[in-house]
Amino acid sequence: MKRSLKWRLAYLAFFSLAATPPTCRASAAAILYVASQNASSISEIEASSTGEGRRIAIEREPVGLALSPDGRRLFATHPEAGQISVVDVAKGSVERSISYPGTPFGIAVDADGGHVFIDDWNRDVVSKVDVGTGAVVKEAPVGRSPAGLVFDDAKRRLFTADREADAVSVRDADTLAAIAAIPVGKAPFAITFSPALRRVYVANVRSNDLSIIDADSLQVIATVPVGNMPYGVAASPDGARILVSNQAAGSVSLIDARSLKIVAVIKVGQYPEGVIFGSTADMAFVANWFSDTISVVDVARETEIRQIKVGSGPRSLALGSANEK
Amino acid sequence: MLVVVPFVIGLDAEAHGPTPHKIDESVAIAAKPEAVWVLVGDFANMAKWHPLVAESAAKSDEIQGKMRVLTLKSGGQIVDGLTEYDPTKMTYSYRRVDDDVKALPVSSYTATITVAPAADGTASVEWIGRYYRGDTGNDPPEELNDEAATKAMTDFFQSGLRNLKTVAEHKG
Repeated sequence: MKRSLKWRLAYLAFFSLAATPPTCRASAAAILYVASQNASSISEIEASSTGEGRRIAIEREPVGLALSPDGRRLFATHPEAGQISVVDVAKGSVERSISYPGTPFGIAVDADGGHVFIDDWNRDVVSKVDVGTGAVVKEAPVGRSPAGLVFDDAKRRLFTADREADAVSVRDADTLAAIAAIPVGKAPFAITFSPALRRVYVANVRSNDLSIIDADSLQVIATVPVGNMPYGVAASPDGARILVSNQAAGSVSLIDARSLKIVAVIKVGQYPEGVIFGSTADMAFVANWFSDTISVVDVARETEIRQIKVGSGPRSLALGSANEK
Repeated sequence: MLVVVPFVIGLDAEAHGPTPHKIDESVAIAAKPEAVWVLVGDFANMAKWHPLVAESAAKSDEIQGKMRVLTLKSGGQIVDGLTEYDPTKMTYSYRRVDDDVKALPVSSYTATITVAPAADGTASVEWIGRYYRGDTGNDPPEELNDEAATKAMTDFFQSGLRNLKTVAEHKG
């Protein structure tokens, strides 16, 4: 039971942005996965370590990254190549490559690990892909230029941040039937789901704010101004904290999820993008796209404690656990 | 149900391809950092030091805030919006807000220019950025591909810094 809850939380890792990580065992060593677009690699970093671990070479220019519910497979999208990589986490190598007929961008994994949900930046669709056969089994239109994609397992709904539609599309994960299109700020890009508070957070790059959506009513319940060009968002496992990366400012904004007040603005590297919490709300990681580093942030002390060098152009992050290997 | 989906996304200011690229250029200038900042920090008046810019003018509106309209010597115009400005650290950041890929075959660039003091009291100017190719589809024509974008950005940054050095050192 513990394991299933843990992985229910763990597989919510997606494009650019944030996963809700394992929470159950304090002893579980968390492992951070970093997709570096320019280096065409995935780096592993043990959460407690001071350096990069294994680096896995993959197909060119990965963007979206998601971990399977059992923690054994990583999925990466390759928009330029029209491919989805399936990485065997234990072996640290690419198990297979799935051809996708378009520009795959955001990604989430279904609860049973048998399908992935993909959105297509250029074709403006969301697709359900069978991992076993590699076939697109369902497809449906969303708004223009869908970027981040998240999956609410409890209600089996998909949310896509449709960057040029200034909206979030909500679809049924089984039928891909349209449920809602929610107007948000300008140029929504990064999106995350907070199971603890049943909210969806969307960072709007051009209006410099965060839209807070009630995942049940599908209404925007608040809009919080953040720094310039927010490109990543994450919620802590307990739901209490939100982090948003401000790409133009080289910082992350730490937000109290209840009061929606900005608690701190923490300097990180240059052009920060993907952000994710560790296994607790006390630690977080930020992908600094320009600096080619991961910032390790002590959230409790509201400060960056180190930067770890990774492959060039890190954008997306996912969190897993060494115990699951 | 027949659904019409646009095959190629428009080249508007918000569109960009999936792979951003980096640029990182710098120059050492034998002048006081404060004197170099007087030139660089004047956001709207880039024509004072950039050799590819014929005219530059300030503009603003409620959505974009402060902007500059650069009329290039090659004929086109580009518009940048200011995103960060910190005179105490002698740095500012901006992003492109227009969409004319004929003027410059690059989309959705953002950049930061910083004047840093060197150990001997002179200045070092670093100009970094992130940009996408002009045609954001997966099969761009030659004049709007990644190479064309990289060439345009590199030419713009390098010639700018070279001439900034010339102008600043002559004034110094």
